[in-house]
Amino acid sequence: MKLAETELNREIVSEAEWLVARKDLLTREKEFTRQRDALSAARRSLPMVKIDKDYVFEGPDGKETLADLFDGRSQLIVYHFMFGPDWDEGCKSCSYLADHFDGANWHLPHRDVTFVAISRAPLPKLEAYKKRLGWRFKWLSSQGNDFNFDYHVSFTKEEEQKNKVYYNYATGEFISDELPGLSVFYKDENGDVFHTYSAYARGLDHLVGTYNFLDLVPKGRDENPDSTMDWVRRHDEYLA
Amino acid sequence: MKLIEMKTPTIVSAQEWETARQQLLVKEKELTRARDALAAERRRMPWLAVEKNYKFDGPKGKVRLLDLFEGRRQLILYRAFLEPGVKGWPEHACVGCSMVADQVAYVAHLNVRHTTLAFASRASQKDIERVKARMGWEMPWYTITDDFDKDFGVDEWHGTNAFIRDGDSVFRTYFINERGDEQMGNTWNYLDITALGRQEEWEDSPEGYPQTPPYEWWIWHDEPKTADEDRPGLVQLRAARAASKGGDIT
Repeated sequence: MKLAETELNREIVSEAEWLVARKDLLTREKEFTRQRDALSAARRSLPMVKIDKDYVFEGPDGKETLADLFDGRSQLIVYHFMFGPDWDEGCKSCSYLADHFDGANWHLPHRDVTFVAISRAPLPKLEAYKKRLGWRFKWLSSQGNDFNFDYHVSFTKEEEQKNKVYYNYATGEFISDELPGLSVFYKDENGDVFHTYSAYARGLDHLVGTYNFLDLVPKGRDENPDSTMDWVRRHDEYLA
Repeated sequence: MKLIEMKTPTIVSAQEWETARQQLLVKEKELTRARDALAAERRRMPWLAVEKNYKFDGPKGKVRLLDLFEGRRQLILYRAFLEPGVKGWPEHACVGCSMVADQVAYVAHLNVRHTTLAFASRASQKDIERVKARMGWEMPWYTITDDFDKDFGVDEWHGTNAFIRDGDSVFRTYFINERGDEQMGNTWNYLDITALGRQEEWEDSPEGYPQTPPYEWWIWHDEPKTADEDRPGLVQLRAARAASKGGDIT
């Protein structure tokens, strides 16, 4: 804080000058908004892949298939929450993202979207952690099925040994046995389920409201470029 | 939700999908970089000194704009419409402002970045406290008592101002409203990655996709069953849309 107090030495201007600068930036912000709309339109034109595997998950309502998870709606968003079977806690950065889920989830069902999180850790671990952090979203365990591996967010011992994994649509070095991602599914009138979209890494950035707010302030996200989320804590672990 | 006439996209093999997805990823990465560049420009905006001594009512009585920082370096202040004359009063804030409020996550993450997020409206503290309790909102929320809303472009429409503090001096660094406020919530961002999108009429979607007018599907989260036609605020929203920018505020 002290450091930040002295660091900033900014141009202070009159209201008229400030408005000129602000309107100039607004032109580019509007361009960006239109660009974002066009990108979302391209997402809606992506082809889909029919899912033939029968994934079964363990959740608060017992055993449920991927088709069951739609809960009567036609679209399903799955957040791949990093919580390995042997881990004691969920990933810190995923917890930061998860702090933003419940607010949106008041509204998503009213646009035909069901939202759930899925992890490989056993259900009792997920439920205890969810209670600790005060979350409401539905969280299921994929322990024992291929779901996390098929959607490229969990990696095998063999992949670790070979130091070669496929993540975010590219082959790279092994980083961790769990990585973050989000997948979208669609269910048609016949009950067939399709995979429409998955995003990873910074593809998840726009879902974090805190970042969107920080992108407006003079200091920005103010992150360490080598380890961007090193300031993030679980929301019950911040010291002040 | 009627999906009967919807022409679904091509159904392809996993390999073909992968190719299409990789092509889209290139465009997504471009947009992420463009967003980073915009945020970099915001960090270089000049500052405007706030000279007037604005006063707000807070839970503990009268406070200055400076006090809204709660000792932190930066303040983001969202102007929400919660006051007599706004549809939904006295049970609710305006439906759109309520949706924005729903999406404010744990503010602890902003606070550790030396940033305070607060809301401000014209309603009394008593009314604000009641609506906050009803909706389960926990962010600080102040009552505007003077020309603050007029001076900061939020007397007639929602908007977000950002301020920085240098000692006891306060500077306005940023202001955004209309669709610019969308990025503060993530419901829109979630919908933008779904197969159907926001399902709003203005969107460029494949033929036959379900689409309804923007704004009209919004709900108060404690009243999800309210039918669109009966919902307080809808008439006002339609009028606002018709009045501004030829019926399109997107």
